[in-house]
Amino acid sequence: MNAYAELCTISNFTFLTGASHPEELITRAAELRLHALAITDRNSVAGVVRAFSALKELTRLRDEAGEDTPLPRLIPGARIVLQDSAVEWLALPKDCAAWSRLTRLLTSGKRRAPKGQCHLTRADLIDWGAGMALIAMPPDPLETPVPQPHLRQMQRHFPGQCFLGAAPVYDGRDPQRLDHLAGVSHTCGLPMVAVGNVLMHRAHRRPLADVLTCLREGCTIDQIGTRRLPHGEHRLKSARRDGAAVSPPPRRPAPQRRDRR
Amino acid sequence: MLSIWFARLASDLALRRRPVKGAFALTHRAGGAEHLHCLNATAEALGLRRGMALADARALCPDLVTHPADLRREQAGLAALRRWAGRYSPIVARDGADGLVADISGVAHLFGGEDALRSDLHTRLERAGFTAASAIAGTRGAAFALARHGGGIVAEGALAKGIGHLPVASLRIDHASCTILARLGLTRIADLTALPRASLGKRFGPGLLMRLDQALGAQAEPVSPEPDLPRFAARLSFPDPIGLHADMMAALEQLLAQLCALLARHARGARRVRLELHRVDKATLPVEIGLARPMRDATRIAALFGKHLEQVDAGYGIEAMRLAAPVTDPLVPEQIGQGAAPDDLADLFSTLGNRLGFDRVQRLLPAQSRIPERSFLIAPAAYSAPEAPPAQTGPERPVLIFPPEPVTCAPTPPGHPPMLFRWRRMRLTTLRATGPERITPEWWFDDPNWRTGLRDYWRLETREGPRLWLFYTPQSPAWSCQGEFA
Repeated sequence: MNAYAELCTISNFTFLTGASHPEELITRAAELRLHALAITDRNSVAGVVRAFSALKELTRLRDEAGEDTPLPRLIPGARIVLQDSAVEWLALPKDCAAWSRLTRLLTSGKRRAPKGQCHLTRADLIDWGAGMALIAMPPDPLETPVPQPHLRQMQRHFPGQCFLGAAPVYDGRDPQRLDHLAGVSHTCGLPMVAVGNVLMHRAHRRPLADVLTCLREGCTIDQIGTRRLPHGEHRLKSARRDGAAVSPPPRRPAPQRRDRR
Repeated sequence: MLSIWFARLASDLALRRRPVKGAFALTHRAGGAEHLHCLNATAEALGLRRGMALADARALCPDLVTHPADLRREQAGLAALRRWAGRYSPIVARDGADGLVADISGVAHLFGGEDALRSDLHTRLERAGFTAASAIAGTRGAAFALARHGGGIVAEGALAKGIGHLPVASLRIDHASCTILARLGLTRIADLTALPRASLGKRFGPGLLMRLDQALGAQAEPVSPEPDLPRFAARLSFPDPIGLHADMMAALEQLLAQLCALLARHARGARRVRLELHRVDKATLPVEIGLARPMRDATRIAALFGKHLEQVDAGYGIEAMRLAAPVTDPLVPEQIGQGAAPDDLADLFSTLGNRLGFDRVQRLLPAQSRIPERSFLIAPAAYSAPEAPPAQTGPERPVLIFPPEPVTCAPTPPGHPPMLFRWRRMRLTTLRATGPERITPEWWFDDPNWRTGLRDYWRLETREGPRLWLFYTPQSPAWSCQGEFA
């Protein structure tokens, strides 16, 4: 089995954005034989608990049945959205101390913001970010230039911990996008990591995701326009690409996944 | 003062348009339930009342015919009656939702006295199908009260006696005061006049005293007539019939100058202009033009009429012309010159629209959708404003989009465009392909063109030249071409 770990997954604990429960994501990841699954909600670790209990239940069922199928490893984490930078960071703690630093970081951000929000800056992430794998999720490089100084700043403080996430968008420009990101990765010295930008566990949750978008934006489904999901590719996928699935022909060696421990 | 009360205005108006035999009622939805808004005499005789719930009314009278009430039409009907009532007095105003009040000082003798005026009024209204009651009294308040309680005439100087027997509710006072008065045993107007004013004012406030004074003539209450809406029309009669094109154009210019001055005074512009040519042999030739935007520029409108007037058959001559603007829109004065672009495009739309029809001159407007076929709207140019397209983001779109056309090629491996294919009987070879861009149908909208499921769009550059936008439908494997890049 080709080992693939999904490192960027949004559950429904990112309110009005994620369209699947953490339990559904874990179950689907086990079906797809994923190596690991990181639950990275926006400025929150609330989904990790549910995913952890779901994984415990799956382990119990497997042990009762006496099977030996591998289960995905759960990587707790959060997607840190900063106030002073367009780059979002997936913070994946490597040990218990880093986990408590991550929760501290989120607490301090939530304390200084009104309820439901979290105000964090790059300085906060530098203060509390030790011991985590930090994956940069820049905005679409074909629409806005990547703020490279922000990537370099983080790389200076946490050498060897920072990565550049590359997620396919399936809009026909993925080869250019990956080329562009590879250039950024080369100049900033951040290794590239393949992520899936997962919003749902299966493609049939696309209507629900669109309805959530309507609720978030305060519009009706007829007015959603271009804000809808154009396709159901932001789902949990296995490493093996299905025949019918979109596969951008790679021009350079596929970005390699770094195992972080 | 003459007060006219239309007891069943709404149902009378509805029945005039569509007569119904038997019980009839108009219903109005308020607070989640249908209520009776207005009924005819048959329905009232059966015990139905206004404001009754429709369900109760149906229980009492199962074969009740009902229609939903149209409050706007009711108001328009009352406005028409107000105009008609201008035959009795120049000063007529609407009084509430179902009444009129007219100042007939010095008018009654033209109709042979007040009695004759009232009987003339009732005859005409009855012939028109309206249930009406009217009263003539020295004051507006007294006439109002009497019209709603039987009607009649109060003689000069006998106001207090004439309306003393009427209930206090007819004084136009609010419902709360009415209830308190009834509880105190003061049910007639005469009961109130007998009481000392000071204590009455202290107890019920100045409103009651004001209404009482207005009814008894101690306080003036004039009728303010509503102004008639402006009629945008001008007319010209000739001492001798005319027939030459140049004469007609000269007359038209004279009429247009009048009409445009009238439009300018009311800050409006014409959307349609109608010219009627009255011939000597009593035939009327109408010429009507539409305008793409509200306009009151005489020379431009005259230019649009030029073509039509050339084709007019003047016969033995035209003795009168009438120019009217039946449809107008607000048009505020604006500074011209000084950098403001001349509205040549609107003139072009007017010219084309008058030749081809205004629905056939169309423009494209941007629309928000990821589906290529629905990313634009087609709207009539004369009735829409141009909109700038949104800034181009996301993948490039072809300059030309057409309905999907089949492409024949050998079966392709998944995720790869065809190397050789035929499109529009041309044999094409792929040089470079970028893609795929995956677009799924909008799940809330069943589009027959998208029944084949999701599409993977590819941008293909061919050796032969055309740069095409092809798509593949994996759920029913086929290739189609939908657009061409520049």
